[in-house]
Amino acid sequence: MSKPDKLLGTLDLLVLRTLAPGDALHGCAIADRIHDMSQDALRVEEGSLYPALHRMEESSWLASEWRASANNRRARYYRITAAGKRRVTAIEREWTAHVSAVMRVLRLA
Amino acid sequence: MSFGRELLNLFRTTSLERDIDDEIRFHLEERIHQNRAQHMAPEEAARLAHDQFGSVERVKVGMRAARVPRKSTLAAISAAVLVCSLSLHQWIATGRVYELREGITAPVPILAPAPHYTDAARLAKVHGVVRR
Repeated sequence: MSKPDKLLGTLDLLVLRTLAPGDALHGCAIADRIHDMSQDALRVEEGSLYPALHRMEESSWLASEWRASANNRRARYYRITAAGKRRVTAIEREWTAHVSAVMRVLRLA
Repeated sequence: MSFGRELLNLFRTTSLERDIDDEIRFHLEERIHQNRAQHMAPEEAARLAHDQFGSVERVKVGMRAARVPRKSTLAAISAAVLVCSLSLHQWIATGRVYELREGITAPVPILAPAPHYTDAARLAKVHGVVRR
């Protein structure tokens, strides 16, 4: 897999994994949750997040609906679909294999 | 992207554009609200929110690109429209030939397909009856 593909897969993985428990979140909350879950280590570039969310919805990995936010403003909420859950499993498997391979090299170097 | 979704996107470009604007506006307002909650001045809160988000136009381009139908879909739709146009054209032309042949104008709908008067003898007979 080329580097851009891998980077693209990273964002997909983070978003899908964040939504995997079944919560519906708007883009802002997804970015915040990734930041919190990574213990402040990862900050998703907000400008890249929204095109990715739309792309994943077009791929049927996410579904969205408009509803009122906690501040009573109209917001678009995303939730993971069954296809998205299958996708996250596949990407996780790829990532685990990738990380294992890198770790093997690091141990031997 | 499924074919149905791509087709749908072609016919709702206005609402897609409005959704994109609303989503970005919500994001920036939410960030400004969060920044204000941390006792930032309004201008500073807005500036930071916009800085973190980056170029709104660039994000919009990315969001639109995610919704654009594939070239193969556009080609399939164009081919379908072409076939429908040709079929309709042929249907209308056949109706007009029938109208001229019968010599009747008012009660015959122009868009009606021709009846099954295909053999020459029957056509001549019908023509003769109408003339008498």
